[in-house]
Amino acid sequence: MRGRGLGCLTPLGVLAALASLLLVVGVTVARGGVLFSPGPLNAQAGEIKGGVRSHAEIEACGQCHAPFWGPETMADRCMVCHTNVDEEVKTGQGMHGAFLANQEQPFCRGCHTEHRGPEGVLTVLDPETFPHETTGFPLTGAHQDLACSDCHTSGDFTVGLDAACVACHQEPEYHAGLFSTACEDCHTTKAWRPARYDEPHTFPIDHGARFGSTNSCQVCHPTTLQTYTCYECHDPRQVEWEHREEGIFDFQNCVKCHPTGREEEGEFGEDD
Amino acid sequence: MSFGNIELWAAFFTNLAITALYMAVVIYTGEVPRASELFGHGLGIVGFILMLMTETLYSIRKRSQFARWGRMAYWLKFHIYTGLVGPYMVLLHTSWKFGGLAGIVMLLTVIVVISGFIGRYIYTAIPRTVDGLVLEESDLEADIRETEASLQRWLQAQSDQTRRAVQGLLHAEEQLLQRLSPALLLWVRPAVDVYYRWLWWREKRRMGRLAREEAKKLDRLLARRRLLRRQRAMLLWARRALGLWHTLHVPLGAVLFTLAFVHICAALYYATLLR
Repeated sequence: MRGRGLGCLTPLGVLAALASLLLVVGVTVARGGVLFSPGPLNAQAGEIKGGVRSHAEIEACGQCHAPFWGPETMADRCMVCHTNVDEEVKTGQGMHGAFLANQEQPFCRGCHTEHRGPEGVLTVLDPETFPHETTGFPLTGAHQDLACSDCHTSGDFTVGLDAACVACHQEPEYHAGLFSTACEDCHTTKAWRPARYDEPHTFPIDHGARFGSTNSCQVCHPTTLQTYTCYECHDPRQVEWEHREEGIFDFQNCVKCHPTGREEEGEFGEDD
Repeated sequence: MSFGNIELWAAFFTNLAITALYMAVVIYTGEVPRASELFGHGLGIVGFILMLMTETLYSIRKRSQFARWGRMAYWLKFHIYTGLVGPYMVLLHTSWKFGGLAGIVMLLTVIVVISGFIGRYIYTAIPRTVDGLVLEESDLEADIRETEASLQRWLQAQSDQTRRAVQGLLHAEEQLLQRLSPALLLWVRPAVDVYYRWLWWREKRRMGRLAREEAKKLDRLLARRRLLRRQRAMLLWARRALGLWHTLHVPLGAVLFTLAFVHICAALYYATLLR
């Protein structure tokens, strides 16, 4: 250098730098870490924990921020106030116990955020990676394609939902009142149809189906399970003609005369 | 595009490309990139490195006896380029939140950039060699004499009408130079230049077609004469203004970088190194 340092190293430049540094130190001593805060803390009041109703009442940054050179982590400081969560983590019980079951150390910041303003959200979850099975309700089948808000309509994810199907799904008119609400006995989460039906059926369920297979319910019960029709497969005009030819005029209730679906078993059949 | 302003155009297109990338990230993620996340953090780091280069490289080249590579004028262009791109990246890094120390640093960045523009404006009022070295008044006088001689030689070969038109213009220029104080001339010189051009255009319109064609050849010589005489008139004031600007700009820059380093240390303590 030609006897001069960098352009900024003029006496006035050095003086200004030192003055600004002193100002920062002064403000920090007087007002804590206000200069370094990336935004106001959440002010939504809850029950008193650690002497405050909301994070906004916390004055010292150090109450949550542990120095990086010490053994303490930020989660350790969270647990000082959030003793209920600490209890869950230690005992492996509850939602947090389930979440953190496989983690060596709790990492609260993985889901919880701060400094997003007085009304800012405190919990941010990634729907793609959130382990929903830890809530006791694994997302399988069609449930995997839903948006969080489809079920959590209130937007409050801390409130557990009723896991029963009928809490979200209405029983269809198709089989209203015929079965219990134990939907899983017949249906899977993949799709409502096809449904599995293992109970005794008054009419052979494989009638007219290919060998080794069964008919779907809609073949005989197109509108509701409480009514049936044979005319999805049988031609009503031909049925009428064949019955009238034999002098049978009351042929509307097919299963009355054909309980197993065989032609010969009718009152006027060849078996009789 | 003139090569003289290539650094401004380069900075403009670089900032345009950064804006396009920023918008793509906004559209892809559906939110403004946060200062603490990968993209926002990256903008801040690269932007600050560019600002640091702005602060140091040109200054080192100007003052060092050993780092003599490259012309000063090119280093100034690079200084201006990084001085425009770096702060823009830092602005995007803020995620449009200007609270606390980070907000103060951003405000200071804007002030320093504006101050830099003012400095460049004053800097261009001072005559320099292509290497950026300041011309002394004696060099300027020699240049003016040479330009006057060229002008007189050219005028002798012209018709009376052209001579009268040019002398009328030179007289008007002289009157305006005498009327304006050097300090005022420093700040209004683009407007004065436009006024001169208008006067000369008006004189040329009065000429015949052949005389006008001849007069067009004089454009560059007249512009050169105007520039030199103006530089001589405001030389003292331009040097004073640059000195004053330097006195204010340097402390502003020093405060900016001091607070920026404090901000970085705080971000490391409260976020990056937080466990």
